[in-house]
Amino acid sequence: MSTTDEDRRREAALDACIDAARDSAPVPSAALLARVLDAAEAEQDRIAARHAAVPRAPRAGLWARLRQGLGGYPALAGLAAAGVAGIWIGMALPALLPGTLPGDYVVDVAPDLALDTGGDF
Amino acid sequence: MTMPLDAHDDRSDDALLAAFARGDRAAARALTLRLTPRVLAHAARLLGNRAEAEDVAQEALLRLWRQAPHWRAGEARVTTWLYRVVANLCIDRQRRARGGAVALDAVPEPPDPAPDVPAQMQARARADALQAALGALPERQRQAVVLRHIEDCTNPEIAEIMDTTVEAVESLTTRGRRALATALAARKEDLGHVDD
Repeated sequence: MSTTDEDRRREAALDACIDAARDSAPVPSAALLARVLDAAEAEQDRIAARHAAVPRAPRAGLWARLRQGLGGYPALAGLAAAGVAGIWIGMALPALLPGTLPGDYVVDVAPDLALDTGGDF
Repeated sequence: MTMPLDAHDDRSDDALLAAFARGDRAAARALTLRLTPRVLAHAARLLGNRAEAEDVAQEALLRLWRQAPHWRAGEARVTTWLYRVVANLCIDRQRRARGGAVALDAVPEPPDPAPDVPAQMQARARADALQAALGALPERQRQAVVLRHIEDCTNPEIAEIMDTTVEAVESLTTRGRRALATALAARKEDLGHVDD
């Protein structure tokens, strides 16, 4: 028998043993599966307990969060004043807008800017 | 305690592990049923001892459960991670147990096969002979051969599990196969491999 034949036979014998080993893989017992699952569920409970134990600051109300978001009471006061002023200007001064009085004119402070060349004035 | 053995779940290992971390009991069952057989089989191949393999499987899966909340999907495969944990646990046990791997001579000889022996007995004898021969291999050769030829892992996967290069894996599996073939050739009459 040649060395090559012998090698081939050895390989075939090894493959037969590997196939047999694959087919005879140990099957976990019901007891092992139960122990593994018990540990899994216990760990899930621990994870949930850890999440529940993390202290959380009480959630502020909508008004408080809005106030904080805008910068507190001073910012709110300024905002309110600006709003009132805007309303007053809108109601009291439309007659003073350019083009509403005879002989009014517009001073172009930056005549080179393209913005001005296409304007509606 | 009862556990439905048909707790089949099509979700990937990664998806199941994420669900596990959110407290999904069905994911815990599915992962237990899917992974325990693989982990147990791998540990049994590396240790050659069923009882110790059960302990290793249980410990490896416990570590996976603890890792679940921190698991980053897509970084590593769950099975790759588990094979690595199993190998480390097995190596620790073998080093603690003085003497390490079981010598081939220490494993009982398979029963003498009579010409009319049932096929199952022959298969059993072959599987036992392979296990004994695996036990005689150096740790890393054994791990590489088991991952490549029994667990069907690719060489890059094995390299990741064993924290080495693909070339080193190829060398380990080649030398391991050669050693196994030599060990088994000495028992070819027992195992039913007769020359043509």
